[in-house]
Order: sequence, then structure tokens, then C-alpha cells
Amino acid sequence: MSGAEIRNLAEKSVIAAARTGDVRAFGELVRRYEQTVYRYSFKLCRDREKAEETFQDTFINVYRKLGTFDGRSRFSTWLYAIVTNNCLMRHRRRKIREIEESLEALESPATSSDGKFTHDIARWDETPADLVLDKELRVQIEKAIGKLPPDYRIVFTLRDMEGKSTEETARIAGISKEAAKSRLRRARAFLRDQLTPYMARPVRRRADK
Amino acid sequence: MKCTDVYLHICDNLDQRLGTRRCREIRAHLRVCRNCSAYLASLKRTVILYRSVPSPRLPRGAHDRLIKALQKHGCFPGPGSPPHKRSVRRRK
Repeated sequence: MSGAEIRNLAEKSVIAAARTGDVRAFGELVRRYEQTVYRYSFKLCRDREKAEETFQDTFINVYRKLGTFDGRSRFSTWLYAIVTNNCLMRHRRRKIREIEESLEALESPATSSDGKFTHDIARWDETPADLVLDKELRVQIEKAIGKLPPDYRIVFTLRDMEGKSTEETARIAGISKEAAKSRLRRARAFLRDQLTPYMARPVRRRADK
Repeated sequence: MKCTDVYLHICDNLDQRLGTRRCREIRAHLRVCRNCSAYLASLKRTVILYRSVPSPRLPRGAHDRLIKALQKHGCFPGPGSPPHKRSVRRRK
């Protein structure tokens, strides 16, 4: 089969050919998914060098494990799960756990016995996101997501950045749907809190910069 | 419905207008609770802000480095070697 023919094949056929050992078909899988794998790796690793290492490990794993892909899930789901595992394995080697404990405590803002918030929730300015995404805010965003523990970053990235459903997120992360929902809630709350000191400032002060 | 209930459930439905009883109750609560509506608005903005950060494209040379890594691990034929079929570990 020629390179042009492989490029026009449906994904299932490319996977089937790659599973039989067709090197060109495997090359086509690399071509189709390398941007996706690198971007997702970067979103999890937050570091170009680590992202590229994860990217390489992922395709080596894909090559080695392709025979175990049974087609019951989507290929992209299977691929995302491999990236996720590679990222987690890298992180676990470094054993950073401190902030996870503080996220466990972030179940909800403080409430009184009647279930109402005990303090006023800070209002964010209403400037459209594309106008306020200046350098300072971008740095804050990078810092905040960098502080998020990987288990939470994975769920936030899959649900809110990659647009995966709760079900697919849970499948990729290897957790229950309820755990995925809980981690997403905590991750969003954590990230919101990290940005609040910046976003809750009066619009006029920000415009004066 | 209490603020804590809203906190626990709005996250699932940030961008959805579901017609379930719980969603109707949440919407009714949001109409009268300034704190919860501010909280929801800021959560939505949080997601929009994180989405708006561009993610980098594959760096120059990364594809070639990947091919080299695949060759090193025996996943790809090396330079000059003929295309070959490799053995793929199959599930039993």
C-alpha cells in the first residue's frame, strides 16, 4: 500500500494494518496523532522537555501495546490514557504530594449551619477574556495550573481544555465518574481561587497599567 | 436548595441548561443568591481563561527525534533498511 493510499484510509483500517505490522500504517498513526499527543503531554507536564519525553514514550508504548488495543474504546481514548499514565509515572518519581492535601480540604467555600456562604464571593470584572489575557494574567494562569496536582490537572485538562465528556475523562484517567466529577469541582475551585486576587481587582486599576 | 448544594452540583452543568428538577432548583436559587451567581460566573470565566491559553505546537525537529527514538527501540526500520513487518504483541 502506498503512502497516499494509507493517508486516505479510515482510522480503523490504519489501526488494523498497523496491528499486522505494517510500518507505514504505524507511521500514519504517528502522523495523525503527534500534534494531539504533544499538546496533551505539554498540558499535563507544563514543561517542553518533559512533554517531548512523554510524547516519545507514548508512541513507543503505542507500538508495543497496539496488539492489546481491542477497539472497544475509541483509539483516541486509549491514546490519551497512555499519555496520562506516562505523565503520572514521571510525576510519581518526583513524589510531590503537599498540595493534594490542601485540595482535599477545598470541598466548598465556608458555609454556615443553614448552608449559606459565610463570606461574600468576590466578583470578577466582566472584561472579555480575549482582552484581559495579558502577560501578567497568563503568568498567573501558568503558575496556578502548575500548582495543581497531576490527578486534578488530568481531569481539568480532559474535561475543560480537551472537551471530553465525564465518562471519557473517567475512562482515560482510570477512575469512577463520581471521582472525575469531584476532582473537576476541586480543580476548578482551586484555579478560580488562584486567579481571584487578580481578577477581582477593579477594572480601572487594570486599565491604568 | 442551599448554597452548598449549588456548589456541589453547578460544576457538572456549567455550560448546560438541563431541564431536570435539580437544575431548575439551581437556576431558581441563582436568581436570588448573589454569592452563588457570582461564584458560577467566576467559574465559567476560569474555564474560559484557561482554555484561551494557547498550547504549543510540536517543536521543530521533534518528529525526527521521535522517529530516531522509535528506531532505537526497534519500532521503526533504521535508515537504509528495507520496510519490514514487525511483530506486535497480541492479547491472548
